[in-house]
Amino acid sequence: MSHRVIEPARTTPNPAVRPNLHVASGNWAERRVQARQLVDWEDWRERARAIRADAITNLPELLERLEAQLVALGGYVHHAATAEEANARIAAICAQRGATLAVKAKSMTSEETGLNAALEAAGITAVETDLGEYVVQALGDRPSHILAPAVHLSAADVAALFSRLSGRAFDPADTRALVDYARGALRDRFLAAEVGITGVNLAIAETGTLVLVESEGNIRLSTSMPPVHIALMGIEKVIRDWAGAAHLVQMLPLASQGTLAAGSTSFITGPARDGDDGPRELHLVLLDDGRSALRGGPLEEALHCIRCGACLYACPVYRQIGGHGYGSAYSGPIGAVITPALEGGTPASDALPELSSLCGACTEACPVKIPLDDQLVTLRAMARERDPRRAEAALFATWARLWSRSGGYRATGAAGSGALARLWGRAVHGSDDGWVPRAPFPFARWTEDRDVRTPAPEPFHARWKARRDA
Amino acid sequence: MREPEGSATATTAGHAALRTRFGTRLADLGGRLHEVASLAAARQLARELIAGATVARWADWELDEIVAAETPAAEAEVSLIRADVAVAETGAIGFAHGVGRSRGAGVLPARQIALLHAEDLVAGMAAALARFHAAGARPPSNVVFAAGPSRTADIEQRRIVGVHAPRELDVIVFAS
Repeated sequence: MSHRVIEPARTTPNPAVRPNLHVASGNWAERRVQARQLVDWEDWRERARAIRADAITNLPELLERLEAQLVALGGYVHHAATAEEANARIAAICAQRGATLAVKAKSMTSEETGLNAALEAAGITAVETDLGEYVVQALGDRPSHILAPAVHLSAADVAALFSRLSGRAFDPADTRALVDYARGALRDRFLAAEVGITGVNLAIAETGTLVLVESEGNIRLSTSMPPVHIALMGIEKVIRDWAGAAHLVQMLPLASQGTLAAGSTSFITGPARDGDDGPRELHLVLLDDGRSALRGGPLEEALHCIRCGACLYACPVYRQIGGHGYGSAYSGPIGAVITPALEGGTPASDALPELSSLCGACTEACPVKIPLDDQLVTLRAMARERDPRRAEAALFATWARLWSRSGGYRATGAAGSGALARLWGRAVHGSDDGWVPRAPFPFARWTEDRDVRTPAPEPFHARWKARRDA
Repeated sequence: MREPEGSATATTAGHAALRTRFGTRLADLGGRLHEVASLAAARQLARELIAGATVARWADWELDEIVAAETPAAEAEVSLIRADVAVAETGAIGFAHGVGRSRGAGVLPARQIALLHAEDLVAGMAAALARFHAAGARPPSNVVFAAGPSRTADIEQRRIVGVHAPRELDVIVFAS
């Protein structure tokens, strides 16, 4: 049973998605220009890539070191081979402490494992505390972006939700009032929760230090107020040393928001010591779930990902369909790579690498230089090995043979496209600006999610010939 | 950013450039930088900024003589802390929590005032982290770098005041 793929991929988003996504990706593009001015971007990418490559190459050694250090500090380390094991372990830790309320700070890894549902089944309420996640959870929805989980919702959606929760009216334009409401509602939970659950952005093997990066402060609260802190981490997040951490804690916000520092960056080395008011207990749950199997293979570099979200904003497909379109916990180009990579080939996840135009914008945006477009092609090839689709392959082979020769093209292409153009011309009437917003049958599906250009009255070849002969 | 070495004048100029850079970055992030000549002046300015609001403070001696009474962190309006380091390139302040330096007092109140010794301002993150981590030594249990007040862009991508951590930040740099 696949847990990462939640529903089949679909390309028709909720109506608020596109305007919000276009604003978000526009903001990101501007910030990217700023980022390039702050540092020698190519040099920084190469250093970041080298730090992550070192980590994945030496993964077993570094994980051993991390565990030894953390245990020496009085922390607990748990190994989970699967998502189910990770969820069960976390539920057991909560149950042993009699905890019924946990505060959670945004963790994509817990989305991957489906932790919230597992905790709920065990009688533990897990409250998301990142503003976007809080809204998404209260609506019974799912996050649609690694870093901006509520990017698909409008201020009106949030105002309506808070009005319903509080019984008082909220004005969508007054975002400050919305934020103030969330601050008050969540503050009580932070003070009451027995357990804080977070993800991990990096773990430093050298000293057993967990590094958590955020903008809002909810991670600081989740790792300060409750007496128990449970951190869930994919095993690939470990790095060797503090020098590497110094670089990556700047590269991560630089790639995602164009600044060298995130709102808060926490370096947590063991549980609270000597009467410090932090958590007395620290648990690190190390999740494998398909990750170690990728080492040494053609998709190994996908493990270098630092979850910055840059490839999502850079992707023309993501910008059109939104994160929910992927139907999996991880969306965008990196989701289309790691979901099938970790699943090891299910029909649902094998469909994800098709959600790409292979334009390469993701690879160019990636701060650790993952060759995402190459990996998408590799995954498509792997999917075809599992499901050869012989008829489709034969059709394309025939087409390639015909159209790679001018004689073959003239004999078939000219006639075929002429017929299609005549059919299209009869069925479709574009608007004056040269676009067709909605075409009738048999082209209707094509225009459900996109406008198309009105076709040229005459094919290019015909115009070229007329021009040449004139 | 590398400071010229050799003469005391060059070092002073280099430090002034660091302060300017830090102040600009902090302002970009929505925080405020105040520069004063002495610890006494820093305490005086802190008293003026607090102006009768309730305060949760850390036990650092530099923070003495500013407020007469303390309020539990969950109810206090102002968090009064001492930063261990500040990073000119990023605008962030860094501080270790520990005994006498409560995590709650550092994060729960809506406003934060941080005192910083001028010598604790460094150029980059690598130098800042070196303050907390020396090879072979155990780092503090919790170190936080906070860049400006808390922010969020979770509602329609508009960057607004944050949800959880302090939403106003004044950094007072004092020379010795």
